[in-house]
Amino acid sequence: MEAAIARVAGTHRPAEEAQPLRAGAAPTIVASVAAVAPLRGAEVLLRALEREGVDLVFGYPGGAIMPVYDALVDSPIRHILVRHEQGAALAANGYARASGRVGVCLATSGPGATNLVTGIADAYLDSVPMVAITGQVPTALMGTDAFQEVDTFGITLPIVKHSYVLRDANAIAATVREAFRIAREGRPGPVLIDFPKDIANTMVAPEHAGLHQAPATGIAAERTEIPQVARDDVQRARKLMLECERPILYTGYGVGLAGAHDALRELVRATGIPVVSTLKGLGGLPTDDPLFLGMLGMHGSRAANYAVQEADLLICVGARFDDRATGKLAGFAPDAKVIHLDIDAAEVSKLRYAQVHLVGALAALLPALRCAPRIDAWRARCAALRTQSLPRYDAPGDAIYAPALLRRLSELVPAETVIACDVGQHQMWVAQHCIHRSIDRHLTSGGLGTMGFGLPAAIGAKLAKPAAPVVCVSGDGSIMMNIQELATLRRYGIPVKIVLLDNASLGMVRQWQELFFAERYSEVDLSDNPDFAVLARAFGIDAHTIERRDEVEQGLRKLLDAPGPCLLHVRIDPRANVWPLVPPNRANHELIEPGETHA
Amino acid sequence: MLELSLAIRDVEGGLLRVLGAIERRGFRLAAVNTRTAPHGLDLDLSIEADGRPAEVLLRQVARLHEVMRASIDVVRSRGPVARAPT
Repeated sequence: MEAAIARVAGTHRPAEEAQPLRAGAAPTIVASVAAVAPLRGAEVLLRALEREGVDLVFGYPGGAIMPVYDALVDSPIRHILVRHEQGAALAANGYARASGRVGVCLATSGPGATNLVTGIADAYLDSVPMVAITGQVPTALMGTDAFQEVDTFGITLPIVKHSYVLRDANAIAATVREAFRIAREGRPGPVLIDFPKDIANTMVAPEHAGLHQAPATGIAAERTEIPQVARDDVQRARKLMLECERPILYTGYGVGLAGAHDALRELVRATGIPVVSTLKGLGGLPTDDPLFLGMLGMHGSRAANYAVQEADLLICVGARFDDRATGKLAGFAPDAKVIHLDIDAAEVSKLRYAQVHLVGALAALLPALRCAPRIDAWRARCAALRTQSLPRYDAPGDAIYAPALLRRLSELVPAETVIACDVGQHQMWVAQHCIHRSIDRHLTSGGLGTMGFGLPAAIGAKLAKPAAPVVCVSGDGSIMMNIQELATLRRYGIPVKIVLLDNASLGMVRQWQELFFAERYSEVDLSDNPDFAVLARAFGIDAHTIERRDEVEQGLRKLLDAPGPCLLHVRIDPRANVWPLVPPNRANHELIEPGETHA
Repeated sequence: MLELSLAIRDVEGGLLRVLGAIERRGFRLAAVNTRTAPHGLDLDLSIEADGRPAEVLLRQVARLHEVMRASIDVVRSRGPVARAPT
């Protein structure tokens, strides 16, 4: 498998060079800091990346970034050539989500940079550590409407944690170091470096290159001690936990970002408090744990939504009261006081007032909350809700029932499998019906909801974790947003398995038009889709199609047993909907099930 | 009306990033007063709040990389309501 990944067209690099470092491991410094000859700016950039432990970047060359691509020829950094810059940004995004390391993407100026924008915005909204490097026209031409010149810095200003225009070749290494530090520290996010071509071509004396300083990768991303000022708040939080009768732990992606899975699980064991999760927090507590009530919010479980609405204390851990999770905010958990734990102070009381807030590293804060509230009756109530809302997979008929297929997929794959989703109905079915055991094994575009996320994210994840099976679950709408990346799968022999749920429509939009727009269907019909199996084969990807329920087991096994990349094209009923559903502007307890009305 | 006082580093786009963040968070800039300082720029901003919490805006601005110090006052109140950690 590893050899297959390293089988790059035209490359001679051995497989071991393609192996990523362990998350958190000290970087291997391969750059020579004793170089005496002057370096071009582009070389300094790559050596600075190497010093940050970067061994893999995703990108697409073009005019203004050519000096960097020239320097890549002599660099040990492996470059993955995608077929559209959005694929580069989303692959770097998936790489970072799966590994916890900073993902890096490269593009040229102008359209190269604008094509990165969606992937950068996705990383911003989902707090993914990324560094995006864009070529730029020479500084003398900046501001003259030169060929392929856009204001990349300005365009990306609202969707990055920080950004730079590199105007001084002597500052390249320091800028890269700072960019990596900012991308990782606190609440992670994307950082952009715009790199004018003349700066990339400037010769830099080794003593001015700044390559002698320690890399940012070695700097701890979060403080792990609880500051004195927070100790009183910890005591207030514990007091609330001991006095309440109906507490709920409401957990989000911050748990994964903080590496606080174990701390969360130990807190749950110690307190016995039932848990609900956001979409991106799934896997913080294994979803088959008896205390896990499900995802909350628009397509959350009945148990999760009812329990939150009945709660008298919400302990929000690394989540942000997003509208998809809260439903009508004014009606969300109406009787609950709130304890909010987050690394980002700006999330505190942004949407819901928190009686107690604890800002800091979750892995340090969570153990401080251990206590033993007397909530036996509440646990029994939550257990009953959980039992009542367990999904059923015995839908009548011969057509393939997507939730049942996904549940079976989840049972068949090894526990360490990464599932990368696209966006739409299938994304919600994956959330609801797959078994999630770790946040970094469920890659889903939660904040931006980026159709086209799944395939490039899966590519990034597989390259980050070569030993882990990676499955991309996509839909017929989403897959077409980045279908060109099938060529990337083929080129590098990346053994991603694709489950393509094809309902010949934009299913989620169709569902909303059915339910909330009086069945006035507008531009959701995709019945003229290409034959996806034929299309995949045209890219050199093995593919099969199934359309009956009795074909599911064999189809899944054939997919998972394939040695290389493979696509399973699954035709499903276009009328299938995602349930439950909280109608717009309704509180979460007003969710509806099939056959219920929302009036 | 809020009065937001900031000290920001002299970095490219710093002023734009701060002003943009305030507007994108749903606040309206009524007046902007800037002056150069040894560290970069000092800003005094008058902002119309429209009901959103001032403390949250303060924290959203304070977390920007170029912001060195931030404090906010509600006009006609007796004193500062919030001051971001530096």
